[in-house]
Amino acid sequence: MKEINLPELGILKEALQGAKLKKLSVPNDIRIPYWPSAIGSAKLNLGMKDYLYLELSAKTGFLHIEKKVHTVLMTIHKNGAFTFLFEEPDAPMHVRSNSISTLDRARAVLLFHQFREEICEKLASLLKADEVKHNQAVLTIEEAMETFIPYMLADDISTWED
Amino acid sequence: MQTFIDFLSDLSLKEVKVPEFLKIPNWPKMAGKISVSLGKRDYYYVTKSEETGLLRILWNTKKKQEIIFIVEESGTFHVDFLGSYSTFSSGINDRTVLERIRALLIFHQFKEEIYKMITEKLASDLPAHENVAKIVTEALAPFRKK
Repeated sequence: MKEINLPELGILKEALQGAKLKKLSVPNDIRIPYWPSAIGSAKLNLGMKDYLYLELSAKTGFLHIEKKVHTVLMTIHKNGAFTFLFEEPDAPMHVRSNSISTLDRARAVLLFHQFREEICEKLASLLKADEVKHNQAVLTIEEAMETFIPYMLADDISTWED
Repeated sequence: MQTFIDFLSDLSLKEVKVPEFLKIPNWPKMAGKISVSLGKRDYYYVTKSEETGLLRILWNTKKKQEIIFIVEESGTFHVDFLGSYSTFSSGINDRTVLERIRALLIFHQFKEEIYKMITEKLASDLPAHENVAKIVTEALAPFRKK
């Protein structure tokens, strides 16, 4: 059995007491605010990018930032949460803004922060272009639904009476 | 980012609602299940934009599939698209809104023909049950052009 070296333990204690390590804190369930629920899910290809990615050191458990280069794709879900995906086989796994893992949420936020200008610009132009087409489609569907509505209401009312 | 949030809050996107359990009201059970072929033809359908998930109407002019319109005994309906290599189906009671919309729009586009075909079919298949044909005519009447 190895002897415990008390003086060495003392040094460790001092080092731990002196360390000022910031704790990573990222809110749960991060979403793009005011994301319209009419949008199913939007997909963006940001192309091949240099980007900063958060890693956890296997030895110390400390966070560090690594530079990577991969094709970055982004999906914004119906509820405004978003996922980053990478194409190449050596790339990281996808990261989600509503992941239960704090590290993944932090990664998603960091990626969004790096590409926010491009993401917002691309999304705004895509949504603007699709807005009119979408509203026309909904009007056509509403027109097709028109005759059914009084009967649906009548069915609803008859279930209240039951 | 703030500009983008302003842009999002200014977007006026209409919500689409096609409830499940839609059916042709007052469809008589005695009419049973009826299918009619609309043949191969141009039709419009709704799809979602790959990039934004928003809806858009597209024309299918390929005429590759035969369109079969089927009304079930309960009055619900679905559409089968029969191609040489593949067949797919969209139903008014499907779980996905998009499939319900596709079935609804086929009905909407061809309701006059569907009406005519169904009543003719009933008249020839159920000559002894004239009353059924009459009830079906009445059930489909609200969908006919005024």
